Amino acid sequence: MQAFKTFFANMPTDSGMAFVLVQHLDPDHKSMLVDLLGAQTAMPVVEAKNRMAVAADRVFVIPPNATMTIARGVLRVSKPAPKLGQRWPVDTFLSALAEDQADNAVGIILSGSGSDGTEGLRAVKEHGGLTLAQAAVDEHALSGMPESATATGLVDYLLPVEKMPAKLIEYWAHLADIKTKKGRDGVRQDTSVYLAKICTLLRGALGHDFSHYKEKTIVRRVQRRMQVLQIKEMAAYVERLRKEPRELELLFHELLIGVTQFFRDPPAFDVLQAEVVPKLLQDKGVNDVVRVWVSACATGEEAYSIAILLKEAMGKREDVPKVQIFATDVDDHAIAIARAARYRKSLLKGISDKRRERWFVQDGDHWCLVKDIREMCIFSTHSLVKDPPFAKLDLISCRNLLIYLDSTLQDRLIRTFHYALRPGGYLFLGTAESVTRYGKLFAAVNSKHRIFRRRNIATGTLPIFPLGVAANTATQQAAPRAPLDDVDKRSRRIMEKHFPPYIVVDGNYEIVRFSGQTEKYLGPSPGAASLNLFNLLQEPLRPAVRAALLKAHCTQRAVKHPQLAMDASSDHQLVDLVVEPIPGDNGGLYVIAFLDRGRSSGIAPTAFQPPPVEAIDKELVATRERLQATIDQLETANEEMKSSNEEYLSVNEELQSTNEELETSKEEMQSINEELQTVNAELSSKNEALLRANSDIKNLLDSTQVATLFLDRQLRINGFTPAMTGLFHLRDSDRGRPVTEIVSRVAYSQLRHDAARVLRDLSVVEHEVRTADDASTFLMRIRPYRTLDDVIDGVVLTFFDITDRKRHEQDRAMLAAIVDSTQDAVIGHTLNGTITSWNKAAERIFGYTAAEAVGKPLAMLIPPDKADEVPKIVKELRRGKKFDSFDIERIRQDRTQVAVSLTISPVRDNDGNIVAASTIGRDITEQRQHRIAAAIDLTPALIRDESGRIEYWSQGMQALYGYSAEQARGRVFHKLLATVFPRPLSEIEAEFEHTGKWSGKLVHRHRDGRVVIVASNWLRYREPDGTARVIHINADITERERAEEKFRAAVEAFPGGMIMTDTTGKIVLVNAGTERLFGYSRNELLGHSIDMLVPAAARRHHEGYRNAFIEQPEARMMGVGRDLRGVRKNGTEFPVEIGLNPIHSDEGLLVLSAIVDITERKHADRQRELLLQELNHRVKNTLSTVQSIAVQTSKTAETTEEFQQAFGFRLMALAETHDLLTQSGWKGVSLREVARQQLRFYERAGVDSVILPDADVFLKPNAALALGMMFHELATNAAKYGALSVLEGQIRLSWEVDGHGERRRLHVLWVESGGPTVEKPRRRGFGSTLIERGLAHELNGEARLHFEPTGLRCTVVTSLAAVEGVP
Amino acid sequence: MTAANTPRVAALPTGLRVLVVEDEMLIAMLFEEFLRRLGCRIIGPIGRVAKAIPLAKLEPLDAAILDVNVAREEVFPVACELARRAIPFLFVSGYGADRLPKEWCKRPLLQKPFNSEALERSMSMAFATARRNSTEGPP
Repeated sequence: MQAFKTFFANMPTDSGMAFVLVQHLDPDHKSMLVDLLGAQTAMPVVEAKNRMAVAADRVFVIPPNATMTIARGVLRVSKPAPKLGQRWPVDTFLSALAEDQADNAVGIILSGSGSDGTEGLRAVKEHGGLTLAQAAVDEHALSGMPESATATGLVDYLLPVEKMPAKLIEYWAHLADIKTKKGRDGVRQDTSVYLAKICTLLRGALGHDFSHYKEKTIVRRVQRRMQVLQIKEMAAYVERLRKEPRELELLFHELLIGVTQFFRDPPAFDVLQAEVVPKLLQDKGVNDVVRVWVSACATGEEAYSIAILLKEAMGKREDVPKVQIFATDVDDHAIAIARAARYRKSLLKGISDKRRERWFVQDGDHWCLVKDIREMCIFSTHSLVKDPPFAKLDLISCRNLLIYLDSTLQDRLIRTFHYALRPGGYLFLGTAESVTRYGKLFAAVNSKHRIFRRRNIATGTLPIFPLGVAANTATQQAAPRAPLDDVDKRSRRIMEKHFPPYIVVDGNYEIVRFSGQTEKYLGPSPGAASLNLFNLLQEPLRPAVRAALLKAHCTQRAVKHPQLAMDASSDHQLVDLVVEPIPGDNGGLYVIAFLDRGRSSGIAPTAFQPPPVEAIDKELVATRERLQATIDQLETANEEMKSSNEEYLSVNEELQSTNEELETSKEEMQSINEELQTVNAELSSKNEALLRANSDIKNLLDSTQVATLFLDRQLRINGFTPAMTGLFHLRDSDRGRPVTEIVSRVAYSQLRHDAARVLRDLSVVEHEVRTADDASTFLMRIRPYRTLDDVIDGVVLTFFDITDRKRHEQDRAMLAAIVDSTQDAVIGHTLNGTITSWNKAAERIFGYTAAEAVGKPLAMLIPPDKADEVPKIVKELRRGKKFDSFDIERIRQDRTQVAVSLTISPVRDNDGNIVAASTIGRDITEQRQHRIAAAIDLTPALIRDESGRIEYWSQGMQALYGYSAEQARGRVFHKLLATVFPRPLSEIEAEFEHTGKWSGKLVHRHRDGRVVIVASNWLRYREPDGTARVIHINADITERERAEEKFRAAVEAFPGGMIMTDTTGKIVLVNAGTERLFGYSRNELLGHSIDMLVPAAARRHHEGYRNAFIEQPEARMMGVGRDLRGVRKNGTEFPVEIGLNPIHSDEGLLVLSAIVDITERKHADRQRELLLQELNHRVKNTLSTVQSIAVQTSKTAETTEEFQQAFGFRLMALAETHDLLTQSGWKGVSLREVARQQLRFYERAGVDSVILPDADVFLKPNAALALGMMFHELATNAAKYGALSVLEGQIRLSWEVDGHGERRRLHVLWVESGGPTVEKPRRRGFGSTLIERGLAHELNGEARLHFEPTGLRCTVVTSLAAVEGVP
Repeated sequence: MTAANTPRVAALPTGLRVLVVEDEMLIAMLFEEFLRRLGCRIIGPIGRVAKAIPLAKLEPLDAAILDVNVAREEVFPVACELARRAIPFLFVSGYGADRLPKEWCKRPLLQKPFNSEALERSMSMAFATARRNSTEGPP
């Protein structure tokens, strides 16, 4: 997981690559990987689904419990995954990926345990992809999967995760880069020229020649290496190979990637099994050997497959021959794997289950071949090209190797195989390979499956090794065989007559060409047919030819040997011998030409000067004979050498197999050694554990106070615990003595007998035994002693000291007796309420036996309606609370109720923790009955029969009505009490008859005549004898009734409206005021909603306000700040003020509203406000008036004093009229009063200085003010200049009204007389202006001043309507 | 009121014909006195609305002073006529400005009591208001 995170943290999101994550997932759990990675990278992370196309820059995650593959870029997900042990998700996917994507595939092995992925990487690499594995910090492969992959040498780069993305991107870029250089088949076109160099380098460094491998194969592999190294140019790569031997090695490994599996091409193997194997074993006895060679065995699957076939075939026979399968490969790493003979499950594809069961043994993840098969095979490193072959083989299997090789090498190899096979031996090739071209060497057995048989006729010669070095000749020689045209052919035939005969030989002296007429020099020699020059050459010529060839070979020049004698006879034929290397050919071809010199006829050959001819002849003859002998010897030796060589080869091969066996043995020894070490370690640890267990047991025995005695079958003491010494007088030295000899403190004589019984029955015997002094009691138990392997080997005696337990049991028995003897139920129970103990009294009270009750919930005793009290009690109990004697009902087993007084206490353990509880219950049914009776007696209650006759009369009744029980008993109740019923008695009785109960208000008479009002409840019940009785229980409600009456009266007396409503707003009470206020009658209101009195506009809010009041019921004014309005029956509205009072009554909360009509008050308020405004206006007007007066006065005043005086008087005059107006309430003021007011200072006693008329007119305020001012001015003037300035002067004031209706006019007349003579003033003063202009203006009439000599006269005429006010 | 806040009063031309509608005798006299001092010619004073309306309709007038409440009648019909003729006028009242109907509240209101400066200022404002109304059309 961490690896994934790191990887994607370093991976850009637009790399153009797609990522598929394969993980080992638990099939049963949903993987969180998608979500976790989604947070790590911006690329979309999805869970792979079947048929999902892989797209770039996306991350696909394998779903759990699935197998995933890929084909044509589309994911295939199959579910469920194979079962554990066959599940290799990484290998599976990588293999598919490799096939699908070839060099586009990159396999990365991140952390993980096991070896999954290794085979996948192999596939990726084989198809040209890149392989990476995660390195730990130390740059070694991380253990687990990366390590497994790296160990195979398949990993190109071992990197820490964070460096992988960079490498990937480089690789990707490189791939894109070289794409252009690739041909349609994905192979680079520019590489071939460098291949020769690469092959040379390889051969030089490693000795392997790949120059005959198929070009494409090599190019592909080279190309892959280049991609890994990101080298673009071949030249650069070659350079690198030159510099880095390691790279050569890597390339070499790359070239050797082998593909193999068990029974590859099963049909071929079937044929092999059916047709070849039986023949191999045919005619072979115990002493014979079947030899098989599997060349290029890679990791050994093929070798083992053949071994299995042979083994199976032999399994049916008794006289089985020995089988040796030589399995060889150049790759020693592969060989090592083959030797191990361990294969992963996934590699066993070709093997049927039956074969697997028979020939393999499972070992964890792997399957190993059984020893029989393994021992048939001998593995060794061996190069087909370099090393000599095995010989005398029965079968050679060389599958899928030839295809990698070019035809030359193929040719050589096939010859090698021909050599190596014994006559009639078989050759088994791959499907793409064939030897049909070599019909001379091999005959097809099954050409479809490429099985061939060696022909016996052709000679098997061993090619020279290494094959590659001199192998070119054949092909190059074949090349010049161009077709000759006819002229050439004929001319050549003619020319040949004139040419000297010649032959061409190669470096091995094999003749490769004959010219014509060589029969003179050559002749077949006896023995096997051969083209060897020296077998064919005339004997006399052999030494000279040999010498010449040697010389020509050494000098590479033409060598001439003239006049050579053909034989030793006298007329010897002479020839000139010419040996010349064929130029331009490094393969060593030589032309040997014979030029005929005719017969010597005695003439000595030119080369030899014959001074003493005979001597020389003799010597020559002798020499020839010696030479001939030497040559014979040499040829014999040569033959022997050949056969020795073959023997050596065989020996060598034997040695190899022996070595191989030794290697195997060594490995086996090593593994045995390891196993032994493991066993040793295990034993050590077991030993330690044993010691530990021993000491544990010893400590256990010492620490237990249980006295234990171990006896053998003869009752001899085997061992004992220290506690035992207290019971038997035992010492360590007593071990081995019979226990019967030991003195015991316990009184127990039956030991021998009981032990015998235990041994016989294998039962357990228990006894209680006491010490002799009776102080202690022990529980003795005798058991058989069983050894671990279940053998009875004596008995074990254990003694438990149960003295305390005995005492506790006694105590407990006593307590139990006490508990059982009490009259109270004693119940123990857990805190959860499960009953744990139940005494006799509990059985009696509740009816359950102890057996029935214990284990049941305590709740079964509780009436269902009180079930909820249990949790409360338990809660309190847990807190340690004790419940003392509370009375409560409980249920008996027969479902009847029983009254009990309970005491419930917590029970604590030694640490004070509350662990349980006890309930002690006392039956108080009887006690309660007494109490009830007493209580009833105190309440006013009677019991009567159905006819109404009183049978029981309680003291409470006596107290209520004044009659004693004696007086009441036998009387009819309603007659005795002069009952007034709310309804006719007959109706009530009918209802009572039906329901059996009745309640209602009754009015009774006390014995002394008082009225007693009661709430009476009647209940009928039946006596046990079936007769019906009726109980009356009366409650005195007289006082309450009276109080209610008073309350009603008070409400009724309230002048405003009083309405009582319940919480729903229903009117329950109204008074007369309400009827007046709203115009409804009482009956129209009662029982209806108060909303009918609320204007429609306010109704919807009303309920909310009402609920708010009910929430917080306190006496207050309703709707302070709001204008409250009521609506009358006639629909008119009016303003109200409402006081609210909560009344808590028996019927619940009631609301008493006191409603006052505030229409008048509202009106008055408005009036007052207008008045104030008017007042303000008036004051300001008045102030303006005053100002005007001041201004006018100042105009006429000569001095300040004068002004002050005049101004002061005028203000006073104004104020006086104001006084009058105020007195009259500014409605109307008497004209007479106004005049009198202004003139009163001028009335003199005894003199009629001022005469006012009796009639009067009421004036409006403005008129009054105007006339007031006028009178003031006139009076002031009169006092200064007129009638009032003298004693005799008189002023007569009169007024009258004339006209009718609207046209009535008021005439006011001011006449002065008796004063000084009047002159008309020169200028108009304030007074005259005021009167003549102002007054007229003000009164909308006329005012005139007449300055008559007898006295001033002033007339005012105005419309009465304009001035008349209200009196 | 500080000097800076006092509206700049343009000097009234002399010989203006000013209608005075005021029912109270003494206050009417005060107007006469003050207007005389300002060099105006007084038309009225008139103490009844009914009498004032014909004058407001027909009389050649330069300005008018209207007591809001004239003999218990409101003076607004007179104001209507004056406005129609675009004659500057001002209201006089002992009530506050809030008692003026909305359509008249933009007109200058002379609060009682007043002195001659206040009257002159209100007159000027009346002229200003009338000028503004005449350019903007009738109210």
